[in-house]
Amino acid sequence: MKRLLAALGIAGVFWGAQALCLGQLVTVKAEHPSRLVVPNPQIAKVLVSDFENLAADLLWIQSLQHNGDQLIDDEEKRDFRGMYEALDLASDFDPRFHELTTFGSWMLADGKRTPEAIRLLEKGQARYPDLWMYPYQLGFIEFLYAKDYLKAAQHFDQAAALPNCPPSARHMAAGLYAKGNKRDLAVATWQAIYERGDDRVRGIARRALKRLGVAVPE
Amino acid sequence: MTRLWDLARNTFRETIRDRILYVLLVFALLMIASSVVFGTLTIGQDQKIVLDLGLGAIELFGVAIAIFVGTSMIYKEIDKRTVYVVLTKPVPRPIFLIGKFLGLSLTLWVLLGLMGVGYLGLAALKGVFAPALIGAIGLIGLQLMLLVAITVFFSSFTSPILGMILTFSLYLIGHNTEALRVLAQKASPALKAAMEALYYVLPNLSTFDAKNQVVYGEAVPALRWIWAVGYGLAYTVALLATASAIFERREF
Repeated sequence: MKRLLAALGIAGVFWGAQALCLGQLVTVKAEHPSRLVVPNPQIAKVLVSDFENLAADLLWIQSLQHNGDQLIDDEEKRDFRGMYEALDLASDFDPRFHELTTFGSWMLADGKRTPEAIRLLEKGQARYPDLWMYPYQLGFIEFLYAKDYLKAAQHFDQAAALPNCPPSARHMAAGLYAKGNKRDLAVATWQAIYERGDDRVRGIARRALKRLGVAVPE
Repeated sequence: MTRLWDLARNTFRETIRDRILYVLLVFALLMIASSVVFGTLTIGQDQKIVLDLGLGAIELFGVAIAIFVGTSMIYKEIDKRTVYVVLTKPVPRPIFLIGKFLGLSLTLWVLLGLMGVGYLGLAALKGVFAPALIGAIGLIGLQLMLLVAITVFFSSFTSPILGMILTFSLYLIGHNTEALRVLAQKASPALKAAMEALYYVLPNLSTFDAKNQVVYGEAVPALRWIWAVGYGLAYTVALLATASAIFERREF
């Protein structure tokens, strides 16, 4: 009985000690965030063999988590290196995973990596030229982040000509071709995105509106 | 103390004679060496491949050895009834368990040393040796010790097959516990508290993973090493103490 109680006592103390160490590790890791590490594409393709979809899912989850971690940090500490490589590889594994490319482009552009966001979308567009969502999203990224209004308008035009594209593409193209205040159009666009988007896109829209000086309730 | 050392030494002798160890060791060394061939498949990244594959092979084969040998170690003693010979002598049950744990841990550290020498030698030949690599291997060793403690814990109350499945599951879960914290952020307060508690109870094996940072030459903060070592040792002792409490009440 004495030995049992001693064992239980020691167990209690060390369960507490390990929790304390883990708590400290969480703090240290938060203070020294590491960059997103992506496996070498050639090797990864050989290794995943027939589990490509699963590998794409894992990379996608990893990217989302990394993105979430960066948003918790101060803006100057954020590190989105490796994000494009992860999304690019995941889209190679599962090209039909369109959400990965479209939402991935939001994450990249929001992380001030607009050229990579465009590159990712262009790759998707090259694979699926009949899908409206790629030129449509390219329009948003060119307009809201790259600020290339002519290119953005051309992308929206291109999207509008494709089957099942929402009518907003035509309106966006018209607004961008027209001379006028693009800031107001940007605010209106972000507000529309904020109202219609899911939680993750709403977060991006909220930050963008804040940067444009428009307050949005949390 | 003498009894503990005797038990550890005998377990070390017993496990080191196991042929499966040598098969796994040869495979591990072959895999480390094959990283040179894999490296040639890429352009300009061969050194990274050597480092990645080598560290990966060391961890994977170490885990295989820890699980295969660890889960059957105590069961064999019970099955062959040799446990009675030991426990009828003035050897407390916790000493028996800890002796077994220390013996297998010693075997693993010896094998890790052999694999490490092969790996670091190859890294030196390729001109990519860095002292931090030794630290990364040390952390793998700590992880393996924790895994041995898990196998001892399961061995104290379950069969080898079930122990193997449970240990392997914990190994997989242990490398993904960070997901629990992410999920907890979106959960209801009660579920959040439960998930947080689970996060602190389940082994966090990512703590021992410095592979990526070391390979990319990123600085690993000193505190990270210190707390990881502290965590590994504390968790191991906690598990062994819990296993001792269970084993103390076990009837044969």
